[in-house]
Amino acid sequence: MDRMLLESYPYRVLEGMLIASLAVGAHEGIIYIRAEYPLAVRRVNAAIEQCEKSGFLGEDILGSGHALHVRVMEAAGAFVCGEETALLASIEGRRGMPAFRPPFPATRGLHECPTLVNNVETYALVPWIVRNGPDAFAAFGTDKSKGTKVFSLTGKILRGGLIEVPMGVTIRQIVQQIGGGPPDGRAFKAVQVGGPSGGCIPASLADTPVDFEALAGVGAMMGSGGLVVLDDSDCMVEIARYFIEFMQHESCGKCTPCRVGTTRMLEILTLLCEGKASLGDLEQLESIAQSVKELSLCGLGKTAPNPVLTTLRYFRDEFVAHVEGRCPAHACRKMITYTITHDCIGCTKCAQECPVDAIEMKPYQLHTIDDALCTRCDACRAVCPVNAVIVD
Amino acid sequence: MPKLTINGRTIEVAAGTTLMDAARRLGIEIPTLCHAQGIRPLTSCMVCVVKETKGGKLMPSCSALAEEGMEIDTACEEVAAARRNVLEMLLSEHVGDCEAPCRQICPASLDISAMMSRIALGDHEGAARIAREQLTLPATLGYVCSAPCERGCHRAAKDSALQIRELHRRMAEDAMGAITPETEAPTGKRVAIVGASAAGLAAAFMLRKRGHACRVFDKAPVAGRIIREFAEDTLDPRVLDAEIAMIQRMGAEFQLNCEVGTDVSLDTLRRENDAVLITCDDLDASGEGIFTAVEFPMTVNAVAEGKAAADQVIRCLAGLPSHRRVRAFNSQLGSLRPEELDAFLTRLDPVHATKKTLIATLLKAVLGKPFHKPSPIPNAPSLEDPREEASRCLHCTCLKPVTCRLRRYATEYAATQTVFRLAERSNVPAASRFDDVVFEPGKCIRCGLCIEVGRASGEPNTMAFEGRGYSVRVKPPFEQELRVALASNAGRCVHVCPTGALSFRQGEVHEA
Repeated sequence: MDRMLLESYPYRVLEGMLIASLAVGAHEGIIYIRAEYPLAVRRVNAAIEQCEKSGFLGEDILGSGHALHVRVMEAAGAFVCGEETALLASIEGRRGMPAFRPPFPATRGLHECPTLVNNVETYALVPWIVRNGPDAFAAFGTDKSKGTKVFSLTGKILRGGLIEVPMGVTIRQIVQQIGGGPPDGRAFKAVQVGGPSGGCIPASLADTPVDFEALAGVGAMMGSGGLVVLDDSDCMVEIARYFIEFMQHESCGKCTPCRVGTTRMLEILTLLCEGKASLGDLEQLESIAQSVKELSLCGLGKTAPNPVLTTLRYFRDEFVAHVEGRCPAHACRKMITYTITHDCIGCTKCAQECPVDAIEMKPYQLHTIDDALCTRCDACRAVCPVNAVIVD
Repeated sequence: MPKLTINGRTIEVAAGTTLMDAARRLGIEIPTLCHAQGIRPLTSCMVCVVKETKGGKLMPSCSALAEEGMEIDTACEEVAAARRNVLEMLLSEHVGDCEAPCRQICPASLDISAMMSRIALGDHEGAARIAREQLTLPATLGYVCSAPCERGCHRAAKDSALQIRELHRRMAEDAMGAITPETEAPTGKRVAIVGASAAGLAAAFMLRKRGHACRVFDKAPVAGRIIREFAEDTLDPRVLDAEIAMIQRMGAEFQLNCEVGTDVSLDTLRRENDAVLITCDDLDASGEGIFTAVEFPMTVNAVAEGKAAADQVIRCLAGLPSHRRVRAFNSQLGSLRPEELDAFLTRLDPVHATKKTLIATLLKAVLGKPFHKPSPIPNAPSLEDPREEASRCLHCTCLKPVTCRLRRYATEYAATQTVFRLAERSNVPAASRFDDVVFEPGKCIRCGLCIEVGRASGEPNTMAFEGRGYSVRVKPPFEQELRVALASNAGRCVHVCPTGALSFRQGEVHEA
């Protein structure tokens, strides 16, 4: 949603930075945008240019004597560069690798100078708060988490998209009222909150309010504001594997726990999804996850195990089922088979759709699937007009 | 001036002092791999974690600064477990042997690599000395040993295992005649050894070397009875006789046809000696100054047992407490894969393919099996040229087996290499060399110290990181040669490298 803010409301961000620069006495501002967001880069640059022309940026802003020069830094798009010390290293032209804090950037940041680092959303909120007053902002939200928060609502949801809600609304309100719940009458199973390193909260805890403290209490976090809704066709082990794969890939490789630990976790999760892991592997997965969380240098490593730790906490039975060779959601490809029941009317649609010719075309006869060829792509089941394709 | 406590002791340090430095001032050493004096903290290895007990958090002491009121614990079980976890993660991606597999396997721990170096240089006496001092009965073992060492030889993957047993036999026999190993000045201490077979003989050898007087008792009319019985068909008795004679020349006395318990009492032995070492199983005794060693039927095991027991006796006579031997951690490559052989061979000097090994390689390629295998029967193949055979040695041993801090801490924290059963060992990456420096990327822990040394030197194109995440590597940048990347920093890089990734090919002598 930061991308949306930069693309649609660049002036809010610039105004927020301008106010902040006045507060801390800064004269240089940098907006760090990944180069894969060209529209955001273009629009922010255009906005900076316009502001400079109108005297809102540059030397002696509106005759105040205050100067602020803002420029865009196009970044290569490493996930870890969302971590402030890695971000600063990257701006300085070094490898995007984090450093131990303290010193915090506010003490020693870019080129050793005190630096204020804030998220796009934070700056975008500042003009509103200054204009309407802190009390108006604090009127939204809960005791400790004030104001509103933008979420990116995706996954198995009828109405996905970017939503702005006051802090403290419950997950159920977001999923059911705003999002309309999962499509196709599927059951709402869980929600991954806070991006890939957030936590997986089960439907049974859907009344958890969305604020910083409550999310941390259930093992998740606000993080990037991602909200991925999962339904009963999603396998939680596969979800955990998917997110760890992402985090393992995005680890910068600097500190041992994150570099090696996430890799060792991914190995176990992959084996679990193939139905080849043991209970001992499961225990080890949990213990590595704990080590990576406690020992990693930066926020990326410290939060990377969250999806594993929360799915283990709330869906342990699914992990155990995988050890026993079952995927309860019928989602792990290595552990399921596709078969056609006697309901088959011989319409040949499945045979036509099958990308690997695992189904022989036999008009008006019962069709069969060659399990050795089948890639579990689900095309036959999706196309069958009489629901004769079943997954076990 | 923040004041804090470390392991319950209070200390006041200057602002900006790291926890590691504060602890050092109290004489508390905190292990670290990625930190070196004079280099900014890199905070990459995470072995140096300590616990702040108030907040309950673990923090890297190389970077965390001392703050007023902190309560630091550097030694609790939680910290030890965290360090062990991190070490095991590092070991799971560590590709290399700490000790050559032949030496790891040898019960008597013969430094085969060192012996081969001497032979290859033509220094047969030097080779014989190594064999003698570590095997004590090198010629006899050359006949009776089952040579487990040869089964671990990495060279077998290329053509055939080195004939290790044959070489130490040859070296020992050639040198035996007139040689009397040096002994230290008499200590005035006396040791009685009961049993004059392999364990007893080995112990006598070791004790005499240290200058302790010793007398060996055996009820049999000859020394080495068990060895003789065990290896009747394979051992020429004159070889054993000669080695026993050598131990006699070193000053050990033998009292044969004398059964302890019948002809002389154990009490008498105990009274007349400073220590008694019992190496026969029909005598059961314990007490102060009484030591035991098992006379295993396998001679090399008995020798190892005798050496270890002699060690304990020597410690006791020096007034030191007896200690349980802690086995040093050993990283193990396991079997070499065919596809990594060439990379492995680049470690040291390219071994000149002699006519014999060429033929063996060709035959292996054609027939798919080694040309000659280590013979199961001793003294069968006679070596035409020991020097040529020894020069086939790949010297698999790590070049920093003692100064490697990863190994030291792995031993200290009882870390093991195989906790992650799914972690597949990656192939041995090719080593590179620049003058005396060997770079073995498989042993690199990506700490970044050599990179920092290069950066500080101001030279261009020094060592650098390449890639990201799990596949991050430290290497010369832009496919440069190691020569360019190390330049004038070579010595300093070897010195700061915490493992055997950067080392001198002569081994650790240069370190001092």
